[in-house]
Amino acid sequence: MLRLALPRGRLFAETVELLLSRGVLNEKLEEGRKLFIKTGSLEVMLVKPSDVPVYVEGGVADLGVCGMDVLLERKPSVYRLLDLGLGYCKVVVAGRPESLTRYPNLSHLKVATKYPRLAREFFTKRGVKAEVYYLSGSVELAPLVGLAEFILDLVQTGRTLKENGLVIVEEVAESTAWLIANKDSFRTKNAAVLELVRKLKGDGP
Amino acid sequence: MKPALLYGERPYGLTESALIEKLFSKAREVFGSFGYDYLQLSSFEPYELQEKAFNEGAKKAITFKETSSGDLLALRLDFTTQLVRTVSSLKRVLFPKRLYYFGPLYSLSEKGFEGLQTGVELLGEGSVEADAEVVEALYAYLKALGIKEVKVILGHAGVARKLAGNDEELIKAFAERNLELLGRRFGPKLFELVSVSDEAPLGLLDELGLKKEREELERAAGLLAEAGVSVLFDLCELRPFPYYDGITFELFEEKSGRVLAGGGRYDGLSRLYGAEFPATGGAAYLERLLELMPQGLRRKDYFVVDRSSRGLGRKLARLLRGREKAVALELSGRPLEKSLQYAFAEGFKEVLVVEDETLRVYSTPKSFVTLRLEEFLKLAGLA
Repeated sequence: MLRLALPRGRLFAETVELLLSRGVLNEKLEEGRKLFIKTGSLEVMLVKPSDVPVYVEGGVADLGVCGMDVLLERKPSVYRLLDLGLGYCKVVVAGRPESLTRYPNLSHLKVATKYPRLAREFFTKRGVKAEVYYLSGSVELAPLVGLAEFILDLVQTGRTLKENGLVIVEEVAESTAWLIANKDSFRTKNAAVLELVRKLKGDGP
Repeated sequence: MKPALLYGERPYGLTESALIEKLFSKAREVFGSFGYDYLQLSSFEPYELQEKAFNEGAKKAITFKETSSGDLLALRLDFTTQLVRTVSSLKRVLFPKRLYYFGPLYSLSEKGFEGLQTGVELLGEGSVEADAEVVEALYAYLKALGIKEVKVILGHAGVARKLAGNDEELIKAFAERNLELLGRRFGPKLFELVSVSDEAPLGLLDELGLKKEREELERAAGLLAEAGVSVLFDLCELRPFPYYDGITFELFEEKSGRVLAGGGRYDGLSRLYGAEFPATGGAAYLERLLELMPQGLRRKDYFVVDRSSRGLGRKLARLLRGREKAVALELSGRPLEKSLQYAFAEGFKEVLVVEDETLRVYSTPKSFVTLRLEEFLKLAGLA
Protein backbone atom coordinates (compact mmCIF):
# COMPACT_ATOMS: atom_id res chain seq x y z
CA MET A 1 0.00 0.00 0.00
CA LEU A 2 1.31 3.44 -0.93
CA ARG A 3 0.85 6.55 1.17
CA LEU A 4 0.38 9.79 -0.75
CA ALA A 5 0.64 13.33 0.67
CA LEU A 6 -1.62 15.80 -1.14
CA PRO A 7 -1.46 19.57 -0.73
CA ARG A 8 -4.53 21.26 0.67
CA GLY A 9 -5.61 24.56 -0.87
CA ARG A 10 -4.85 25.85 -4.34
CA LEU A 11 -3.58 22.59 -5.85
CA PHE A 12 -5.98 20.18 -4.16
CA ALA A 13 -8.95 20.13 -6.53
CA GLU A 14 -6.82 20.01 -9.68
CA THR A 15 -4.68 17.21 -8.25
CA VAL A 16 -7.69 15.11 -7.26
CA GLU A 17 -9.21 15.65 -10.73
CA LEU A 18 -5.99 14.42 -12.35
CA LEU A 19 -5.70 11.40 -10.07
CA LEU A 20 -9.34 10.48 -10.77
CA SER A 21 -9.01 10.89 -14.52
CA ARG A 22 -5.93 8.64 -14.61
CA GLY A 23 -7.46 5.96 -12.42
CA VAL A 24 -5.12 6.52 -9.48
CA LEU A 25 -8.10 7.40 -7.29
CA ASN A 26 -11.43 5.60 -7.50
CA GLU A 27 -13.43 8.15 -5.56
CA LYS A 28 -13.51 11.90 -5.33
CA LEU A 29 -11.86 13.30 -2.21
CA GLU A 30 -13.18 16.38 -0.47
CA GLU A 31 -10.99 18.86 1.29
CA GLY A 32 -12.75 18.67 4.64
CA ARG A 33 -11.52 18.22 8.15
CA LYS A 34 -10.45 14.63 7.62
CA LEU A 35 -6.70 14.56 7.18
CA PHE A 36 -6.09 10.86 6.60
CA ILE A 37 -8.19 8.88 4.13
CA LYS A 38 -7.93 5.27 2.98
CA THR A 39 -9.12 4.82 -0.56
CA GLY A 40 -8.50 1.71 -2.66
CA SER A 41 -4.84 0.79 -2.47
CA LEU A 42 -3.83 4.27 -1.32
CA GLU A 43 -3.58 6.04 2.00
CA VAL A 44 -3.98 9.76 1.39
CA MET A 45 -2.73 12.46 3.75
CA LEU A 46 -4.03 16.01 3.33
CA VAL A 47 -1.36 18.46 4.43
CA LYS A 48 -0.27 22.05 4.07
CA PRO A 49 1.50 22.46 0.68
CA SER A 50 4.82 23.48 2.17
CA ASP A 51 4.72 20.43 4.47
CA VAL A 52 4.39 17.86 1.67
CA PRO A 53 8.17 17.42 1.22
CA VAL A 54 8.61 17.15 4.98
CA TYR A 55 6.30 14.13 5.15
CA VAL A 56 7.84 12.57 2.05
CA GLU A 57 11.46 13.13 3.05
CA GLY A 58 10.66 11.85 6.54
CA GLY A 59 9.38 8.59 5.05
CA VAL A 60 5.84 8.72 6.45
CA ALA A 61 4.52 9.37 2.94
CA ASP A 62 5.91 7.39 0.00
CA LEU A 63 4.80 9.95 -2.56
CA GLY A 64 3.62 13.53 -2.57
CA VAL A 65 2.34 16.26 -4.84
CA CYS A 66 4.29 19.42 -4.37
CA GLY A 67 4.76 22.75 -6.14
CA MET A 68 8.16 23.42 -7.66
CA ASP A 69 8.25 26.68 -5.66
CA VAL A 70 8.26 24.63 -2.45
CA LEU A 71 10.94 22.29 -3.80
CA LEU A 72 13.13 25.24 -4.80
CA GLU A 73 12.77 26.73 -1.34
CA ARG A 74 13.06 23.64 0.81
CA LYS A 75 15.47 21.59 -1.31
CA PRO A 76 14.28 18.34 0.24
CA SER A 77 16.18 15.12 -0.25
CA VAL A 78 13.45 13.43 -2.34
CA TYR A 79 13.12 12.17 -5.90
CA ARG A 80 11.36 14.51 -8.32
CA LEU A 81 9.58 12.04 -10.51
CA LEU A 82 7.06 13.78 -12.72
CA ASP A 83 5.92 17.24 -13.68
CA LEU A 84 2.14 16.95 -13.35
CA GLY A 85 1.67 20.21 -15.24
CA LEU A 86 -0.86 21.45 -12.67
CA GLY A 87 -1.16 24.81 -10.94
CA TYR A 88 1.10 26.75 -13.27
CA CYS A 89 2.51 29.82 -11.50
CA LYS A 90 5.53 32.03 -11.64
CA VAL A 91 7.87 33.02 -8.87
CA VAL A 92 8.59 36.70 -9.50
CA VAL A 93 10.20 39.77 -8.05
CA ALA A 94 7.64 42.57 -7.85
CA GLY A 95 7.60 46.13 -6.61
CA ARG A 96 5.90 49.47 -7.02
CA PRO A 97 5.98 50.83 -10.61
CA GLU A 98 8.46 53.53 -9.66
CA SER A 99 10.94 50.85 -8.55
CA LEU A 100 10.95 49.27 -11.99
CA THR A 101 13.67 51.51 -13.44
CA ARG A 102 15.79 51.44 -10.28
CA TYR A 103 15.77 47.63 -10.01
CA PRO A 104 18.37 46.70 -12.68
CA ASN A 105 20.99 49.04 -11.20
CA LEU A 106 20.62 48.10 -7.53
CA SER A 107 23.50 46.34 -5.79
CA HIS A 108 21.62 46.25 -2.49
CA LEU A 109 17.91 45.88 -1.89
CA LYS A 110 15.32 44.88 0.67
CA VAL A 111 12.97 42.07 -0.27
CA ALA A 112 10.06 40.53 1.60
CA THR A 113 9.18 36.92 0.83
CA LYS A 114 7.80 33.57 1.85
CA TYR A 115 10.84 32.06 0.10
CA PRO A 116 13.90 33.33 2.02
CA ARG A 117 16.33 30.69 0.78
CA LEU A 118 15.27 31.07 -2.83
CA ALA A 119 15.50 34.86 -2.54
CA ARG A 120 19.02 34.74 -1.11
CA GLU A 121 20.17 32.31 -3.79
CA PHE A 122 18.57 34.28 -6.61
CA PHE A 123 20.00 37.65 -5.65
CA THR A 124 23.41 36.23 -4.74
CA LYS A 125 23.69 34.76 -8.24
CA ARG A 126 22.86 38.19 -9.66
CA GLY A 127 25.51 39.83 -7.51
CA VAL A 128 22.95 41.75 -5.48
CA LYS A 129 23.12 41.95 -1.70
CA ALA A 130 19.58 41.26 -0.54
CA GLU A 131 18.25 42.02 2.90
CA VAL A 132 15.58 39.34 3.17
CA TYR A 133 12.50 39.73 5.35
CA TYR A 134 10.66 36.47 5.88
CA LEU A 135 6.87 36.81 5.92
CA SER A 136 4.39 33.96 6.11
CA GLY A 137 1.59 35.74 4.22
CA SER A 138 0.23 38.99 2.73
CA VAL A 139 3.65 39.65 1.27
CA GLU A 140 2.23 42.33 -1.07
CA LEU A 141 1.81 44.63 1.90
CA ALA A 142 5.56 44.99 2.46
CA PRO A 143 6.31 47.54 -0.35
CA LEU A 144 3.14 49.48 0.44
CA VAL A 145 4.15 50.13 4.02
CA GLY A 146 7.87 50.40 3.41
CA LEU A 147 9.15 47.19 5.02
CA ALA A 148 10.86 46.28 1.74
CA GLU A 149 10.99 47.83 -1.69
CA PHE A 150 10.48 44.47 -3.41
CA ILE A 151 8.78 41.17 -2.85
CA LEU A 152 9.65 37.74 -4.19
CA ASP A 153 6.45 35.74 -4.40
CA LEU A 154 4.34 33.24 -6.29
CA VAL A 155 2.01 34.76 -8.88
CA GLN A 156 -0.82 32.95 -10.62
CA THR A 157 -2.96 35.57 -12.36
CA GLY A 158 -1.28 38.72 -11.10
CA ARG A 159 -4.57 40.02 -9.73
CA THR A 160 -3.38 40.46 -6.15
CA LEU A 161 -0.31 42.33 -7.36
CA LYS A 162 -2.46 44.60 -9.49
CA GLU A 163 -4.94 45.26 -6.71
CA ASN A 164 -2.07 46.38 -4.51
CA GLY A 165 -0.49 48.54 -7.17
CA LEU A 166 2.53 46.29 -7.72
CA VAL A 167 4.16 45.21 -10.98
CA ILE A 168 6.40 42.32 -11.91
CA VAL A 169 10.01 43.42 -12.27
CA GLU A 170 11.63 40.05 -12.95
CA GLU A 171 10.70 36.38 -13.29
CA VAL A 172 12.62 34.01 -11.06
CA ALA A 173 11.21 30.59 -11.92
CA GLU A 174 8.18 28.79 -13.25
CA SER A 175 6.32 26.47 -10.95
CA THR A 176 4.01 23.54 -11.51
CA ALA A 177 3.05 20.63 -9.28
CA TRP A 178 5.42 17.65 -9.27
CA LEU A 179 5.05 14.11 -8.08
CA ILE A 180 7.83 13.50 -5.58
CA ALA A 181 8.94 10.28 -3.92
CA ASN A 182 10.70 9.24 -0.77
CA LYS A 183 14.07 7.82 -1.83
CA ASP A 184 13.73 4.60 0.16
CA SER A 185 10.14 4.06 -0.97
CA PHE A 186 11.07 4.50 -4.62
CA ARG A 187 13.39 1.51 -4.28
CA THR A 188 11.63 -0.65 -1.74
CA LYS A 189 8.11 -0.14 -3.18
CA ASN A 190 9.33 0.33 -6.74
CA ALA A 191 6.70 -1.75 -8.55
CA ALA A 192 3.79 0.07 -6.90
CA VAL A 193 5.40 3.49 -7.42
CA LEU A 194 6.10 2.82 -11.10
CA GLU A 195 2.56 1.50 -11.63
CA LEU A 196 1.22 4.80 -10.29
CA VAL A 197 3.66 6.76 -12.45
CA ARG A 198 2.61 4.79 -15.54
CA LYS A 199 -1.01 5.66 -14.85
CA LEU A 200 -0.19 9.33 -14.42
CA LYS A 201 1.81 9.36 -17.64
CA GLY A 202 -1.10 7.67 -19.39
CA ASP A 203 0.97 4.52 -20.09
CA GLY A 204 -0.78 2.27 -17.62
CA PRO A 205 -3.92 0.20 -17.54
CA MET B 1 21.77 31.34 32.07
CA LYS B 2 23.19 29.22 29.27
CA PRO B 3 20.84 26.77 27.53
CA ALA B 4 21.25 23.19 28.75
CA LEU B 5 21.34 21.86 25.20
CA LEU B 6 23.15 23.31 22.23
CA TYR B 7 21.52 23.81 18.85
CA GLY B 8 22.46 20.91 16.59
CA GLU B 9 23.61 18.73 19.49
CA ARG B 10 22.41 15.12 19.56
CA PRO B 11 21.96 14.08 23.17
CA TYR B 12 21.63 10.34 23.80
CA GLY B 13 19.70 9.09 26.80
CA LEU B 14 20.69 6.06 28.86
CA THR B 15 18.53 3.61 26.91
CA GLU B 16 19.85 4.88 23.58
CA SER B 17 23.38 4.77 24.93
CA ALA B 18 22.87 1.16 26.01
CA LEU B 19 21.73 0.33 22.49
CA ILE B 20 24.71 2.16 20.98
CA GLU B 21 26.98 0.07 23.18
CA LYS B 22 25.25 -3.03 21.81
CA LEU B 23 25.61 -1.79 18.23
CA PHE B 24 29.33 -1.33 18.79
CA SER B 25 29.86 -4.69 20.45
CA LYS B 26 27.97 -6.44 17.62
CA ALA B 27 30.11 -4.56 15.08
CA ARG B 28 33.23 -5.80 16.84
CA GLU B 29 31.86 -9.35 16.94
CA VAL B 30 30.54 -9.55 13.36
CA PHE B 31 33.13 -7.50 11.48
CA GLY B 32 35.85 -9.16 13.57
CA SER B 33 34.55 -12.55 12.46
CA PHE B 34 35.15 -11.49 8.84
CA GLY B 35 38.79 -10.67 9.74
CA TYR B 36 38.35 -6.88 9.93
CA ASP B 37 40.44 -4.82 12.37
CA TYR B 38 39.12 -1.79 14.23
CA LEU B 39 40.70 1.54 13.30
CA GLN B 40 40.25 4.51 15.61
CA LEU B 41 40.18 7.67 13.51
CA SER B 42 40.69 11.34 14.26
CA SER B 43 37.70 13.68 14.24
CA PHE B 44 39.45 16.23 11.99
CA GLU B 45 40.00 16.48 8.27
CA PRO B 46 41.71 19.08 6.07
CA TYR B 47 38.82 21.06 4.59
CA GLU B 48 40.60 21.42 1.25
CA LEU B 49 40.52 17.65 0.77
CA GLN B 50 36.89 17.44 1.82
CA GLU B 51 36.05 19.95 -0.89
CA LYS B 52 37.81 17.78 -3.46
CA ALA B 53 36.07 14.62 -2.26
CA PHE B 54 32.53 15.96 -1.85
CA ASN B 55 32.30 18.95 -4.20
CA GLU B 56 29.12 20.84 -3.21
CA GLY B 57 28.53 18.44 -0.31
CA ALA B 58 31.53 19.94 1.52
CA LYS B 59 29.41 23.00 2.28
CA LYS B 60 27.86 20.96 5.08
CA ALA B 61 31.21 20.56 6.84
CA ILE B 62 31.71 22.13 10.25
CA THR B 63 34.94 24.05 9.82
CA PHE B 64 37.39 25.95 11.97
CA LYS B 65 40.78 27.55 11.50
CA GLU B 66 43.92 26.08 13.01
CA THR B 67 45.45 29.23 14.42
CA SER B 68 49.17 28.50 14.08
CA SER B 69 49.12 27.47 10.41
CA GLY B 70 45.94 29.22 9.32
CA ASP B 71 44.78 25.96 7.71
CA LEU B 72 41.08 25.32 7.51
CA LEU B 73 40.08 22.10 9.24
CA ALA B 74 36.72 20.36 9.28
CA LEU B 75 35.08 17.82 11.50
CA ARG B 76 34.66 14.39 9.92
CA LEU B 77 31.86 14.42 7.33
CA ASP B 78 32.34 10.83 6.26
CA PHE B 79 34.38 7.86 7.48
CA THR B 80 35.40 6.46 4.10
CA THR B 81 37.38 9.50 2.97
CA GLN B 82 39.04 9.80 6.36
CA LEU B 83 39.99 6.16 6.46
CA VAL B 84 41.40 6.25 2.93
CA ARG B 85 43.39 9.39 3.76
CA THR B 86 44.76 7.76 6.91
CA VAL B 87 45.79 4.56 5.12
CA SER B 88 47.24 6.58 2.22
CA SER B 89 49.51 8.37 4.69
CA LEU B 90 51.02 5.15 6.05
CA LYS B 91 54.47 4.24 4.78
CA ARG B 92 53.95 0.49 4.81
CA VAL B 93 50.60 -1.16 4.27
CA LEU B 94 50.03 -4.79 3.58
CA PHE B 95 47.11 -5.05 1.18
CA PRO B 96 44.35 -6.07 1.20
CA LYS B 97 43.54 -4.20 4.38
CA ARG B 98 40.26 -5.00 6.13
CA LEU B 99 39.18 -2.29 8.54
CA TYR B 100 36.08 -1.31 10.45
CA TYR B 101 35.16 1.84 12.34
CA PHE B 102 32.53 3.14 14.68
CA GLY B 103 31.76 6.68 15.78
CA PRO B 104 30.15 10.05 15.14
CA LEU B 105 29.93 12.09 11.95
CA TYR B 106 29.42 15.83 11.87
CA SER B 107 27.57 18.01 9.39
CA LEU B 108 25.58 21.24 9.29
CA SER B 109 22.29 19.47 8.81
CA GLU B 110 18.99 21.01 9.86
CA LYS B 111 18.17 17.73 11.60
CA GLY B 112 21.21 18.00 13.87
CA PHE B 113 24.95 18.23 13.58
CA GLU B 114 25.83 14.74 14.78
CA GLY B 115 25.16 11.26 13.50
CA LEU B 116 26.56 7.79 14.13
CA GLN B 117 27.94 5.16 11.78
CA THR B 118 29.78 1.90 11.79
CA GLY B 119 31.13 0.29 8.68
CA VAL B 120 33.71 -1.82 6.91
CA GLU B 121 36.24 -0.90 4.25
CA LEU B 122 38.24 -3.38 2.18
CA LEU B 123 41.25 -1.55 0.76
CA GLY B 124 43.65 -2.71 -1.93
CA GLU B 125 41.35 -5.26 -3.55
CA GLY B 126 39.62 -4.58 -6.85
CA SER B 127 37.66 -7.79 -7.35
CA VAL B 128 33.89 -8.21 -7.31
CA GLU B 129 34.51 -10.78 -4.57
CA ALA B 130 35.59 -7.87 -2.36
CA ASP B 131 32.34 -5.98 -3.06
CA ALA B 132 30.34 -9.09 -2.22
CA GLU B 133 32.33 -9.65 0.97
CA VAL B 134 31.60 -6.13 2.22
CA VAL B 135 27.88 -6.53 1.49
CA GLU B 136 27.85 -9.91 3.22
CA ALA B 137 29.55 -8.46 6.32
CA LEU B 138 27.01 -5.65 6.58
CA TYR B 139 24.18 -8.12 5.96
CA ALA B 140 25.51 -10.34 8.76
CA TYR B 141 25.72 -7.30 11.04
CA LEU B 142 22.06 -6.37 10.50
CA LYS B 143 20.97 -9.98 10.95
CA ALA B 144 23.03 -10.26 14.16
CA LEU B 145 21.13 -7.24 15.46
CA GLY B 146 17.89 -9.12 14.92
CA ILE B 147 16.72 -7.32 11.77
CA LYS B 148 14.68 -10.04 10.12
CA GLU B 149 13.96 -9.44 6.45
CA VAL B 150 16.99 -7.77 4.93
CA LYS B 151 17.33 -7.32 1.19
CA VAL B 152 20.20 -5.95 -0.84
CA ILE B 153 19.88 -3.56 -3.76
CA LEU B 154 22.83 -3.63 -6.13
CA GLY B 155 23.64 -0.84 -8.52
CA HIS B 156 26.65 0.36 -10.46
CA ALA B 157 27.88 3.95 -10.53
CA GLY B 158 29.22 3.32 -14.02
CA VAL B 159 25.73 2.95 -15.49
CA ALA B 160 24.44 6.49 -14.91
CA ARG B 161 27.87 8.07 -15.37
CA LYS B 162 28.55 6.36 -18.71
CA LEU B 163 25.03 6.95 -20.01
CA ALA B 164 25.13 10.61 -19.03
CA GLY B 165 28.73 11.30 -20.05
CA ASN B 166 29.46 14.95 -19.43
CA ASP B 167 25.79 15.91 -19.45
CA GLU B 168 25.44 17.33 -15.92
CA GLU B 169 21.71 17.81 -16.38
CA LEU B 170 21.31 14.11 -17.12
CA ILE B 171 23.49 13.12 -14.15
CA LYS B 172 21.19 15.27 -12.00
CA ALA B 173 18.16 13.60 -13.60
CA PHE B 174 19.53 10.18 -12.60
CA ALA B 175 20.26 11.40 -9.07
CA GLU B 176 16.74 12.86 -8.71
CA ARG B 177 14.99 10.10 -10.70
CA ASN B 178 13.56 12.87 -12.83
CA LEU B 179 11.41 10.65 -15.04
CA GLU B 180 10.49 13.61 -17.27
CA LEU B 181 14.07 14.14 -18.37
CA LEU B 182 15.07 10.48 -18.31
CA GLY B 183 11.96 9.66 -20.35
CA ARG B 184 12.93 12.19 -23.01
CA ARG B 185 16.40 10.67 -23.23
CA PHE B 186 15.61 6.96 -22.99
CA GLY B 187 12.06 6.82 -24.41
CA PRO B 188 10.46 3.38 -24.16
CA LYS B 189 13.38 2.00 -22.13
CA LEU B 190 12.61 4.38 -19.25
CA PHE B 191 10.62 2.00 -17.07
CA GLU B 192 13.09 -0.83 -17.57
CA LEU B 193 15.90 1.49 -16.58
CA VAL B 194 14.30 2.79 -13.38
CA SER B 195 12.76 -0.45 -12.19
CA VAL B 196 14.12 -2.02 -9.02
CA SER B 197 13.60 -5.76 -9.00
CA ASP B 198 15.25 -9.14 -8.77
CA GLU B 199 14.64 -9.64 -12.45
CA ALA B 200 16.59 -6.56 -13.37
CA PRO B 201 16.86 -5.80 -17.02
CA LEU B 202 20.57 -6.60 -17.01
CA GLY B 203 20.17 -7.35 -20.73
CA LEU B 204 19.42 -3.65 -21.13
CA LEU B 205 22.97 -2.94 -20.07
CA ASP B 206 24.28 -4.92 -23.06
CA GLU B 207 22.00 -2.92 -25.35
CA LEU B 208 23.37 0.27 -23.83
CA GLY B 209 26.97 -0.87 -24.29
CA LEU B 210 27.57 -1.48 -20.57
CA LYS B 211 28.85 -5.07 -20.69
CA LYS B 212 31.44 -4.63 -17.91
CA GLU B 213 28.80 -3.29 -15.54
CA ARG B 214 26.44 -6.17 -16.36
CA GLU B 215 29.14 -8.78 -15.76
CA GLU B 216 30.14 -7.25 -12.43
CA LEU B 217 26.56 -7.03 -11.21
CA GLU B 218 25.81 -10.61 -12.23
CA ARG B 219 28.97 -11.89 -10.54
CA ALA B 220 28.21 -9.98 -7.30
CA ALA B 221 24.60 -11.20 -7.27
CA GLY B 222 25.80 -14.78 -7.79
CA LEU B 223 28.25 -14.56 -4.89
CA LEU B 224 25.62 -13.05 -2.60
CA ALA B 225 23.06 -15.70 -3.59
CA GLU B 226 25.59 -18.33 -2.48
CA ALA B 227 25.64 -16.59 0.91
CA GLY B 228 21.84 -16.69 1.08
CA VAL B 229 21.43 -12.96 0.47
CA SER B 230 18.45 -11.83 -1.64
CA VAL B 231 19.36 -9.26 -4.25
CA LEU B 232 17.45 -6.65 -6.24
CA PHE B 233 18.96 -4.40 -8.89
CA ASP B 234 18.70 -0.63 -9.25
CA LEU B 235 20.52 0.40 -12.39
CA CYS B 236 20.08 4.14 -11.88
CA GLU B 237 21.52 4.41 -8.42
CA LEU B 238 24.07 7.14 -7.84
CA ARG B 239 25.20 7.20 -4.22
CA PRO B 240 25.06 10.60 -2.48
CA PHE B 241 28.85 10.98 -2.50
CA PRO B 242 30.56 11.56 -5.84
CA TYR B 243 33.55 9.26 -5.29
CA TYR B 244 31.75 5.99 -6.02
CA ASP B 245 32.87 4.48 -9.31
CA GLY B 246 31.85 0.81 -9.34
CA ILE B 247 29.31 -1.52 -7.76
CA THR B 248 27.11 0.27 -5.20
CA PHE B 249 24.69 -1.26 -2.74
CA GLU B 250 22.04 -0.61 -0.16
CA LEU B 251 20.58 -2.92 2.46
CA PHE B 252 17.01 -2.38 3.54
CA GLU B 253 14.53 -3.92 5.92
CA GLU B 254 11.59 -5.24 3.98
CA LYS B 255 8.94 -4.58 6.64
CA SER B 256 9.69 -0.90 7.18
CA GLY B 257 11.10 -0.26 3.69
CA ARG B 258 13.92 1.65 5.36
CA VAL B 259 17.45 1.60 3.97
CA LEU B 260 19.73 0.69 6.88
CA ALA B 261 23.15 0.47 5.25
CA GLY B 262 24.85 1.35 2.01
CA GLY B 263 28.13 1.85 0.23
CA GLY B 264 30.08 0.92 -2.84
CA ARG B 265 33.36 0.81 -4.70
CA TYR B 266 35.59 3.87 -4.84
CA ASP B 267 38.78 2.87 -6.68
CA GLY B 268 39.74 6.44 -7.59
CA LEU B 269 39.42 8.01 -4.14
CA SER B 270 42.95 7.21 -2.88
CA ARG B 271 44.44 9.31 -5.73
CA LEU B 272 43.12 12.35 -3.92
CA TYR B 273 45.53 11.54 -1.10
CA GLY B 274 48.55 10.71 -3.27
CA ALA B 275 48.13 6.94 -3.20
CA GLU B 276 46.60 4.44 -5.58
CA PHE B 277 44.67 1.41 -4.42
CA PRO B 278 41.26 0.03 -5.30
CA ALA B 279 38.75 -0.11 -2.46
CA THR B 280 35.19 -0.84 -1.50
CA GLY B 281 33.19 -0.39 1.68
CA GLY B 282 29.94 0.47 3.31
CA ALA B 283 28.32 1.70 6.48
CA ALA B 284 25.30 0.95 8.63
CA TYR B 285 23.20 4.01 9.47
CA LEU B 286 23.01 3.78 13.22
CA GLU B 287 20.54 6.62 13.73
CA ARG B 288 18.04 4.59 11.72
CA LEU B 289 18.82 1.45 13.69
CA LEU B 290 18.27 3.37 16.92
CA GLU B 291 14.74 4.19 15.72
CA LEU B 292 14.03 0.63 14.67
CA MET B 293 15.42 -1.46 17.50
CA PRO B 294 13.88 -1.97 20.93
CA GLN B 295 15.53 0.09 23.62
CA GLY B 296 16.00 -0.65 27.27
CA LEU B 297 18.45 -0.05 30.04
CA ARG B 298 21.35 -2.45 30.26
CA ARG B 299 20.39 -5.04 32.85
CA LYS B 300 22.81 -5.01 35.77
CA ASP B 301 22.99 -7.88 38.25
CA TYR B 302 22.96 -6.65 41.85
CA PHE B 303 22.40 -3.48 43.83
CA VAL B 304 23.82 -4.00 47.32
CA VAL B 305 22.46 -2.19 50.37
CA ASP B 306 24.89 -2.72 53.23
CA ARG B 307 23.12 -2.84 56.62
CA SER B 308 25.83 -4.90 58.33
CA SER B 309 28.10 -3.61 61.07
CA ARG B 310 31.25 -5.06 59.46
CA GLY B 311 31.08 -3.81 55.85
CA LEU B 312 29.95 -7.24 54.60
CA GLY B 313 28.00 -5.69 51.73
CA ARG B 314 31.13 -4.07 50.30
CA LYS B 315 33.02 -7.36 50.57
CA LEU B 316 30.17 -9.25 48.91
CA ALA B 317 30.08 -6.73 46.05
CA ARG B 318 33.82 -7.29 45.42
CA LEU B 319 33.35 -11.05 45.45
CA LEU B 320 30.49 -10.84 42.94
CA ARG B 321 32.40 -8.49 40.64
CA GLY B 322 35.19 -11.06 40.64
CA ARG B 323 32.62 -13.44 39.12
CA GLU B 324 31.96 -10.90 36.32
CA LYS B 325 28.68 -9.74 37.83
CA ALA B 326 27.65 -6.09 37.42
CA VAL B 327 27.27 -4.82 40.99
CA ALA B 328 26.76 -1.35 42.46
CA LEU B 329 26.61 -0.29 46.11
CA GLU B 330 24.09 1.97 47.77
CA LEU B 331 26.13 4.95 48.92
CA SER B 332 23.45 7.06 50.56
CA GLY B 333 21.71 6.34 53.83
CA ARG B 334 18.22 6.79 52.36
CA PRO B 335 15.29 4.62 53.47
CA LEU B 336 15.23 1.10 52.02
CA GLU B 337 12.03 1.80 50.09
CA LYS B 338 13.80 4.61 48.18
CA SER B 339 16.84 2.41 47.53
CA LEU B 340 14.61 -0.31 46.07
CA GLN B 341 12.73 2.13 43.82
CA TYR B 342 16.02 3.56 42.58
CA ALA B 343 17.66 0.19 41.92
CA PHE B 344 14.83 -1.32 39.88
CA ALA B 345 14.34 1.92 37.91
CA GLU B 346 18.06 1.83 37.08
CA GLY B 347 17.85 -1.68 35.63
CA PHE B 348 19.27 -3.85 38.45
CA LYS B 349 17.88 -7.38 38.42
CA GLU B 350 18.08 -7.91 42.17
CA VAL B 351 18.71 -5.91 45.32
CA LEU B 352 20.72 -7.51 48.10
CA VAL B 353 20.14 -6.09 51.60
CA VAL B 354 23.08 -7.38 53.63
CA GLU B 355 22.91 -7.65 57.41
CA ASP B 356 25.31 -9.27 59.87
CA GLU B 357 23.88 -12.79 59.64
CA THR B 358 21.29 -12.74 56.90
CA LEU B 359 20.67 -11.31 53.49
CA ARG B 360 17.40 -10.32 51.81
CA VAL B 361 17.20 -10.80 48.03
CA TYR B 362 14.61 -8.50 46.44
CA SER B 363 13.49 -9.41 42.91
CA THR B 364 10.85 -6.65 42.91
CA PRO B 365 10.45 -3.68 45.29
CA LYS B 366 7.96 -5.72 47.31
CA SER B 367 9.03 -9.36 47.11
CA PHE B 368 12.08 -10.85 48.70
CA VAL B 369 13.51 -14.02 50.19
CA THR B 370 15.70 -14.13 53.28
CA LEU B 371 18.81 -16.28 53.21
CA ARG B 372 21.64 -16.83 55.59
CA LEU B 373 24.83 -15.33 54.19
CA GLU B 374 26.42 -18.76 53.77
CA GLU B 375 23.39 -19.98 51.86
CA PHE B 376 23.59 -17.08 49.41
CA LEU B 377 27.33 -17.55 48.90
CA LYS B 378 26.74 -21.20 48.17
CA LEU B 379 23.90 -20.48 45.74
CA ALA B 380 26.01 -17.83 43.97
CA GLY B 381 28.92 -20.26 43.73
CA LEU B 382 31.05 -18.10 46.00
CA ALA B 383 31.31 -20.34 49.02
